Amino acid sequence: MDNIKQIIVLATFIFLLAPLALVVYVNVYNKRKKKHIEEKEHLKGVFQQELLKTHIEVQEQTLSNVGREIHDNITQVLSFVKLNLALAGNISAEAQKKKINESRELIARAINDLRHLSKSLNFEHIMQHGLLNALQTEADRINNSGIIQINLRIDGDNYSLGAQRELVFFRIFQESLNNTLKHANASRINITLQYSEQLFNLTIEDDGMGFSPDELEGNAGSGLKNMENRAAMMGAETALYSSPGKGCSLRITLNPNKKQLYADGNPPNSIS
Amino acid sequence: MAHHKIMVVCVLTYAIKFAISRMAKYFTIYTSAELICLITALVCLFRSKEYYWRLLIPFMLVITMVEFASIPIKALYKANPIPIHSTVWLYNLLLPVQITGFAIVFYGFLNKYTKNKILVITGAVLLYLIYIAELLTNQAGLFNFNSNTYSAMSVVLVVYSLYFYYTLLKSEEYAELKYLPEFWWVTGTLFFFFGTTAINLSYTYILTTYPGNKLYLAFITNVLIIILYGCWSYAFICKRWITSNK
Repeated sequence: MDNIKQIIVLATFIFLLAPLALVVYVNVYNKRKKKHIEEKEHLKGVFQQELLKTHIEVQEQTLSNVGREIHDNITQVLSFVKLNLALAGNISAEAQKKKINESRELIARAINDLRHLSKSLNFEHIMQHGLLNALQTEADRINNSGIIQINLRIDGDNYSLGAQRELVFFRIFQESLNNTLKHANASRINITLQYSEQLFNLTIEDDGMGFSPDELEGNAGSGLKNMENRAAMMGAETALYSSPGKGCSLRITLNPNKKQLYADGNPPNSIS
Repeated sequence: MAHHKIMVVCVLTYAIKFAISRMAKYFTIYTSAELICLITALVCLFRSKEYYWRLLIPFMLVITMVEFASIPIKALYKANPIPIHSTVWLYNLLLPVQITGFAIVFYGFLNKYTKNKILVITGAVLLYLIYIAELLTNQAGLFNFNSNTYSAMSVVLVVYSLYFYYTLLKSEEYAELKYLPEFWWVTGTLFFFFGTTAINLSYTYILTTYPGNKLYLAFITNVLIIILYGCWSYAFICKRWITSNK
């Protein structure tokens, strides 16, 4: 009799305890979910901020390039044209004709350069046409300037990585190009874009003086760290190979199918 | 004049005392809990936008009415224990109402989190089939309690509740459980039907073997009833609080 009472009480106790344990579990899981959502939102916010910063930096860099181009190239050409026209007054008709033709060619060159520059300025247009187009435009611009020779190679069929990712890739390219122009003393840059189903690789190589990555300090070190962080935010991995006298190679690898929680390949609302 | 007034007061007091003494037997733990829950439902859910919340008012009304109606019938059965005097037929009639009510409410709750409600529909159809089969095979028809249907309903409702928790946790949106009315309603349901499953399964065996244990079973059921209607009433209050905040 007592056994039965105990069994009833025990069975009911267990049958009450089981849902109680379940409710506690649901509650704990829900709290974890809240924490996870908050972390996700935080990362999303950080990513959006970083993306906005990237966007501004790309525009600043573009404007700086345009400014330099106007100063170093177009202004020089136009000054030369002005000089030509000033001299044309006191020379023979044959020489005048030569000077005018020369000036016309120079103005045509200046117009051509300005056309290229306007394309550079129209950043949104470049990004709409994709990373490959943007890199091609930049490579053409640099090659025309004669500062350095850029070779662009594409392996595989190109596809879009999404506006956000492509913007970050473009900014990494700009940063890397700046570093090469400022510090590497290189004569050639090789850019390789490898497109495959599972992998995308962007490799930027130069034949400059190179450096020891372990000894990077100050701004150079933080610049590289910045590139690594940005790449990591979109789920990419960065690898840097360099040694003194042997140039430098920067490779960024991304699995295009890997969806980051906060970088889904869509244009960010904050800047689009 | 003063004499008349005293007389009226005396008569009224007596009438109230008489009414209370006669009515007191109607207020058991079951009926009191259900009545409180019904009043809370009336106050909190009357203006609810969702049909399944509003449905809980007539649902509670039917349950409360059945519970109140069962009291005089029980007294009748005690005086003359013949099948027609038992409350079994009343609870048998309540079963399809319960199956329908629970299915609609769970359907509405799950609709918020998932489009897949096949589980709810299958469960309800299965319970109707068991109910009809049991009713047809019962020797005394409506006067034999459909205990298998009730046990099956308990299991199905536990499965519904677990499925609700699953979809709630799987959902990408975060919900504050403290104030989530659906969560409290389902929790009450889960506690009650999970707890009563043990009793349902052993009820006949225990009572035939050891009739003295009815008291323990009644006590446990009372506790479960308080948990059920406590959770439901709180859910209704949460619902009202959320609605008024919206």
